[in-house]
Amino acid sequence: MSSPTQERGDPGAGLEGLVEDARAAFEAAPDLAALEAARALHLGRGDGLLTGRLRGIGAIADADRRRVVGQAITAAVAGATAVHRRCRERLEAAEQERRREAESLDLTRPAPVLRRGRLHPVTLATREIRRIFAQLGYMAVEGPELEYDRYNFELVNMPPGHPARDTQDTFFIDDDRLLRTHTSPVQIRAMVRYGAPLRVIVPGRTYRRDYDPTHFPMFHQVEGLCIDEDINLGDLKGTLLYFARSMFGRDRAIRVRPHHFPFTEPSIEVDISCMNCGGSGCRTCKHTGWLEILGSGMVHPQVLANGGIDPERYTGFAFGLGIERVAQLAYDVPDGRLFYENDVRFLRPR
Amino acid sequence: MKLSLQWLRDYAPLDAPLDTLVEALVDTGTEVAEARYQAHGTVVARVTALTPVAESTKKPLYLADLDVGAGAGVRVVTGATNLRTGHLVAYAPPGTLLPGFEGPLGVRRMLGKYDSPGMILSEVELGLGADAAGILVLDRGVPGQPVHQILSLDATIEVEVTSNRPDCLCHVGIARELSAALREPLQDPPDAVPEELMSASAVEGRVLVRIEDPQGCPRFTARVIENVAVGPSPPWLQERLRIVGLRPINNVVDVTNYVLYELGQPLHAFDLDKYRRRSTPVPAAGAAAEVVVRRARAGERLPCLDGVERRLAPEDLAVCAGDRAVSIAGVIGGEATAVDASTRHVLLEAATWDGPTIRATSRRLNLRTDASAHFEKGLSDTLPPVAVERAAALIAELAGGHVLRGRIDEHPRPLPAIEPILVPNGFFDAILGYAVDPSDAATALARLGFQVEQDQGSLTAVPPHVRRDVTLAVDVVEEVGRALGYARVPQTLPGRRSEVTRVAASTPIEDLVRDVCCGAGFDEAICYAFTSPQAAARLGGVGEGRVPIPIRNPLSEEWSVMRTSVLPGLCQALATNQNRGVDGPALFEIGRGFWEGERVAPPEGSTPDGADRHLPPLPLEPQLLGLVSQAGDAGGDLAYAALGRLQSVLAWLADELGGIEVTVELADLVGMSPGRSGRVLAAGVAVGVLGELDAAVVGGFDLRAPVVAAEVRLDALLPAEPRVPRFAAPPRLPAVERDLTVIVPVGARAGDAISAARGAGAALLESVELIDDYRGAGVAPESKSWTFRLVMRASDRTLTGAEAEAVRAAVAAELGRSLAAVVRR
Repeated sequence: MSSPTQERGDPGAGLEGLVEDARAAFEAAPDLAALEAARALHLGRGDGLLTGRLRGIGAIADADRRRVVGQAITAAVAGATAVHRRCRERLEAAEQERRREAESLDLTRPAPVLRRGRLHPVTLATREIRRIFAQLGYMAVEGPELEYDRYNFELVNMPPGHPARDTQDTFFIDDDRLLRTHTSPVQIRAMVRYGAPLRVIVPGRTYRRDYDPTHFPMFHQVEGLCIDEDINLGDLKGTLLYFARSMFGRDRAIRVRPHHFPFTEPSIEVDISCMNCGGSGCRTCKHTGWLEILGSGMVHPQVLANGGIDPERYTGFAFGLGIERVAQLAYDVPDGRLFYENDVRFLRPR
Repeated sequence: MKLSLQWLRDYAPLDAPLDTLVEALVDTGTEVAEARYQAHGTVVARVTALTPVAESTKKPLYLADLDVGAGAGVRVVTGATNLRTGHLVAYAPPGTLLPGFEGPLGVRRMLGKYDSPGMILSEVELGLGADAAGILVLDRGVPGQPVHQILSLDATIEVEVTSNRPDCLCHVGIARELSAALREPLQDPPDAVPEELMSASAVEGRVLVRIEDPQGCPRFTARVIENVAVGPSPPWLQERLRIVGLRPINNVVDVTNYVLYELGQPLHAFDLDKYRRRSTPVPAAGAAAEVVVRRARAGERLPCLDGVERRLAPEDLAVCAGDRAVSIAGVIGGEATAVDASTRHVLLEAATWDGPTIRATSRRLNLRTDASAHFEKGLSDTLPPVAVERAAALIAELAGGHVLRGRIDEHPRPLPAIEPILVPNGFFDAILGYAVDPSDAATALARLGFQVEQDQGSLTAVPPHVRRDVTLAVDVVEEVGRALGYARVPQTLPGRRSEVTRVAASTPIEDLVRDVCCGAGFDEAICYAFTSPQAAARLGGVGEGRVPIPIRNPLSEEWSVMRTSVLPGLCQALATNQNRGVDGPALFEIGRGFWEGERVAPPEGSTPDGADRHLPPLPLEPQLLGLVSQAGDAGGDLAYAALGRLQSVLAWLADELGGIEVTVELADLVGMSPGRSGRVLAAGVAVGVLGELDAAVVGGFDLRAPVVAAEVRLDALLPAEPRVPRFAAPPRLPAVERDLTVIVPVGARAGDAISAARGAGAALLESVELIDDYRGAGVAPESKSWTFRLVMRASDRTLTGAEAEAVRAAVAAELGRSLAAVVRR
């Protein structure tokens, strides 16, 4: 398409008007497509209203005038091109803004659930206990849950008729076999299997014939056993302090009270300072500042001998820890009954 | 056991505050369950106004306005005539437990219109004395102050005594511990009958004791008190018994209980006249009554003091009048010889019984009495004469009789003598972990009643007769340790140079399995290891065909056998979640099953003495992994999709941990739908089961279908230690992919097709995957369409199109041959 002006002669005539037309067209373009159409009309390569004028300058005979007109046309094209660029940039910015709004994502939404399962708090506590004692060089071992009376009672100083048997209500299979009432039979098995020196922990399920809001017929214990030359009660206290601080926080203190277990002598019960109130007294610790956590003591010489270890040469300590109790304190479990309801909503931490 | 504070003070000063005493007791090793003053909660109150109640016609009543401290006031109704405005009184608010009252105080409504919360107390209600006539007016105190700060009230201390310390099951025992801890003197109660309570005549010829079973009865002592007047005990005695939780009966029985709680030796009082009359044969007039101690005869019956007739067993010990059993030794007396208001002469028994025998009888009869609780722990045989003297004197004093001269004391089998225990000085330090001064040790032991001798390098201690629990040097160390306080023991970590004998443990395989299961979306359950025979029979799981081991004394039928599979428990847990509205629950558990008769070798650490050889073998305890899930609510065959998820988990596990391939072989299983279940094979060996639960299981466990389950033996599926990963350079040369679509009969199994394809494709076929499984339009109804993606690669060259086609053709031909597959063009 060619303009009548161009046809008629002077390619330099009316340039200002043409530039003004182009500017008006560019600025009036509502979007990039309209702007591109206007650009093609006014600045189209070779045949635009403005760019097309260059085609006519060849007809100008006078070289000087041809140069002057040529320069004028080039300047006009440049002026219009600059306007076009400004308009394009403005429209592109607007377009980008529009697209940003149209395509924006709400990344403030809650994270979509990638469904995964949760571990039982008893498992979590057991892992922690294993980790802590592994760092002290304890090896984790297991033993039968359906155990002989011999290992569960007799070899840990509770012969038939012993009154301490009454404190551990027992599920019997027959005269010789029972469900272990504690992890202590594995003390004997570990001593027989590995001899001294020995450092083992024994996590596992245990059973007592007891069922009320705070007692369950099945529960979990970790037995700990350390035997070597020269082990004393101070080492037991230190080990349990290390455990208490690793498990419940570095500010914990421990307190020991005399107690009685047939398989340890001396026997102690261990309290830790309350992690809830720090020892000043609160509901968790029944206003005593202390929480009972485990029973322990120096392995009775007869028990060492029963495990084939020379009590004249070796001493040792042992402790028994209720895992549910640890989990309840460490993870703030409000009620022990929740452990065995297996309601999966319980497993989702608060 | 409950103790009275005032009673303890008979033997030691103990005037420290109650809290201090409790703390001292705990530090000695006796746990205190509760310690509270009588009328705990009672406070001082001031009478601010007294208004006579006009409606009261029979006896004058007043409305008393009380200032109970902290600006609070209450109005109670009182009939007391000695009250004046301005008096200080003891006010017990609602909820207070008062001596002699049943249950806590409440709010009483008087004359139909006046509410009277709690009450103003007299001395009786504070356990202070007999003056019930008037309200107790206090001479000091401020409103709101606890009254025990002003009045010397008795307190109840409830202790939990460990089973090795029967000597602490009495007031003298606890006073001994406290006096040693607080460094106070201990005063034993009198142990001889005063001359003025003695009769002129002797016991000789009146009672004869014959012990036929010295092992069961090492010692039997007795006294006879004649011409007693049985009646109520004096108030002080009744009050003390009430504080320790006993019901006063009469002055003779009350004394036996009193001395039990004082000295820890149970006694029994017989009516001597009834005893003679009940004897077989009845002794001739003037002849001695015969006391025979023997084992009971099978079927012997005895009506007991509590009104229950009990049948004796040959293991039980009986006290017999001649040949007739009149008392179950150490447990409970017989009704026919009981002391009552008509009793004139009392035969008082204090004996030593064999602990295990008493324990067995008490358990068999399901009857735990104060006496049996003491005897079963094994009492000192030095106690009976002390206790029988004390009780005889008290009976004579309180019931107005006289004690026959001479004590019957049969002691056929004295307990082994208490041996001196030698403790080398360094032994205290070696056990306790700090330097113990030997003289501190000696002093501490002496305070606890030990006879101590010290020489240069050691200490020799003889325990008091009531401390038969102390036999070894470590026992003596414990006495010293707790006396000096465990707070002194340092806190150290053990450690010394040692040879390298072992390596670090690997992560427990169970933990890796748990991580895989959690990652796949299964929540961990922990179920009881017992189940019901019905549940076990309904769903066999991997333990199918095994008979569950019964528990001899189960808590209930529901928990009466040991599980052979974890699946029944998981089904119950799944039902719990379904019933609580949990959406699409999926659970796993790792736990042991119990398989009788399948353990190949005794468990590790069996004692080398061979003692287990004569015992029934322990069952095998396979480590089981169970997975159950409620199928989701997406379209299609829900169970098939959910089973796919279970298969994925098992395949992941086997590959991740063992580098093993898991396949499934269809099989009919108990509790699973036929055609929709099978056995899990690991490298061709059956290790588990997988399938959709059948309608009987779904209904039996109250589940909502569809539910899928899998169970494997972890010990069979996985190596003892996790696989160490191996790495290789990825292939450099490109693979060629070809898809192959075939039409097969609907019954064709993908597993068979893939094995066939692998066989035919040989080394060049890198992988084969089923990418489409279609039934429907365009495919005949008895057929289905499968598309496999074959990936082919050679390690040394780029395969040509012709080579790839040849592999594809070989696979197609093999599928055609083995599965009647027809290639679809």
